Amino acid sequence: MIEPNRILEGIAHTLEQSVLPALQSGFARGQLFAALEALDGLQGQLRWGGMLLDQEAAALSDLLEQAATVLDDNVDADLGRGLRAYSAGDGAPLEERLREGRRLVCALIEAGHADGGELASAIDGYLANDTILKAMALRPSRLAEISQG
Amino acid sequence: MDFDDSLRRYLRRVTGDPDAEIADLRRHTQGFSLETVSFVGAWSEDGLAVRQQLVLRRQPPAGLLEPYDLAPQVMAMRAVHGALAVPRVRWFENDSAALGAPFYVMDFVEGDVPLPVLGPDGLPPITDEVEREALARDLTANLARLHRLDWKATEVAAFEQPTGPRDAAFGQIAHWRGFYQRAHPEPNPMLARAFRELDRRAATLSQDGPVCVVHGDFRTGNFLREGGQVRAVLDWEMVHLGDPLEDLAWATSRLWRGQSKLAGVLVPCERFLGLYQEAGGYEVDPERLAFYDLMSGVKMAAIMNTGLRAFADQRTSDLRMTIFRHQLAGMNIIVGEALGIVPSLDG
Repeated sequence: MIEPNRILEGIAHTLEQSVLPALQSGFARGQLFAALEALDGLQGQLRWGGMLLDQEAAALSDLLEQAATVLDDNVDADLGRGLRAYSAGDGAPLEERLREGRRLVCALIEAGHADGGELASAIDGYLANDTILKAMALRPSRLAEISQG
Repeated sequence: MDFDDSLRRYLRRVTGDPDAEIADLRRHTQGFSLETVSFVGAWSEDGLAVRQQLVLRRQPPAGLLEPYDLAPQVMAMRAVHGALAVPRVRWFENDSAALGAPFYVMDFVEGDVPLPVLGPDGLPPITDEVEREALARDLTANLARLHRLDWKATEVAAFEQPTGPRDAAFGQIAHWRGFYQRAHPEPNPMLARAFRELDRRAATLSQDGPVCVVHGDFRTGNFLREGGQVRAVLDWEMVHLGDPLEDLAWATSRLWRGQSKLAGVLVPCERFLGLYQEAGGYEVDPERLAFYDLMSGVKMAAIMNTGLRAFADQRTSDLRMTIFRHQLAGMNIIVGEALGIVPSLDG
């Protein structure tokens, strides 16, 4: 997983090494240094997604709990063990839990459970809700300016 | 030796003129992939003075389409030159000796690049509907000529050759699955669902049909135009042999509609497809088109993950890669729509 800190570090590095030398105005340089300090101050303080992640975690728990009851241990033994471990591992940090939950949904899909059967509509329902929720947080892109800068 | 001196020395070598000069050198940030530099070259050829505006495109150390190989795009641009609007490639260096990385130099072509976004006023970049229609007509005519090119008689015949549309579809799945996995992405259930569906759909596609030169990134934003005329089709990094409908699906994909209902923010998608066929393009099979529509979203997500990984691993310092971290949420919407899981964004 790409941690927010790595992205923040990279942004600060490029601003300081590539953008700053190109700035002539004292005002602009002062503003950039302030931005660099603000980025420094955010190190270790951020997690991606905020409240959206809490909602996703709840939806994942519901889906994976349902999956655990539906799966046939004779067919999907490894996956079943993973689902039970997930249900028992409530105390893990949120990001780890999300990563593992998403990995398990991928495993369910790759095992064919989204192709049909009892779980198919629950998987697609989870995908649709999660995707729409996260897309609603998107802001209009500045692609025109970014691409021609 | 700095870049300017190295380029001057290179120009002197390839033109054979020890007094060749460069001027007006500018670095550009357009495009997310190859590094782009424009300059004026002046040299003597058979006793005559040549002054030519040129564009140099150099392989970046890392980025969206890594690992890079410039050879196929140069081969393709040379193969199609004359058949459709494409810049003339003058020189190609596939090693790093001259300028630190492989590069090619092509003639500058006048024109502007409309981008696939709506303006702040909510209007397409080309506001005149008649001009948009004319441009779409010329664009699709170029695409039809590319697809109808007799590639077996060109250098492009050295590319990997799929045996038919189904084989081409499986080839593209394997290519983009590998590309995606190399980026070590976070688990993404929507993309897992999409790859599974692509596998399923590819198996149902017919093997009878054309195999042609596929540009791979044919869309608004990747051509120069003057009024309603295409002056040059650019950005051949993803060229390969495959199904012509791959280019059509990419050009009409929601990726490039800029929140409008217009393919490439030019004309309605159905119109774009109709113009292509009127221009002599191949028949549009809805199943193959739908397959490649889904593939388009998956491919874009794979590319974004690759750029993001290159930035996170500090192999590139290009801040533009960081926007993909949040834009991936938009990719899941487009993929979900193509899968029929997310309701149509057109309402």
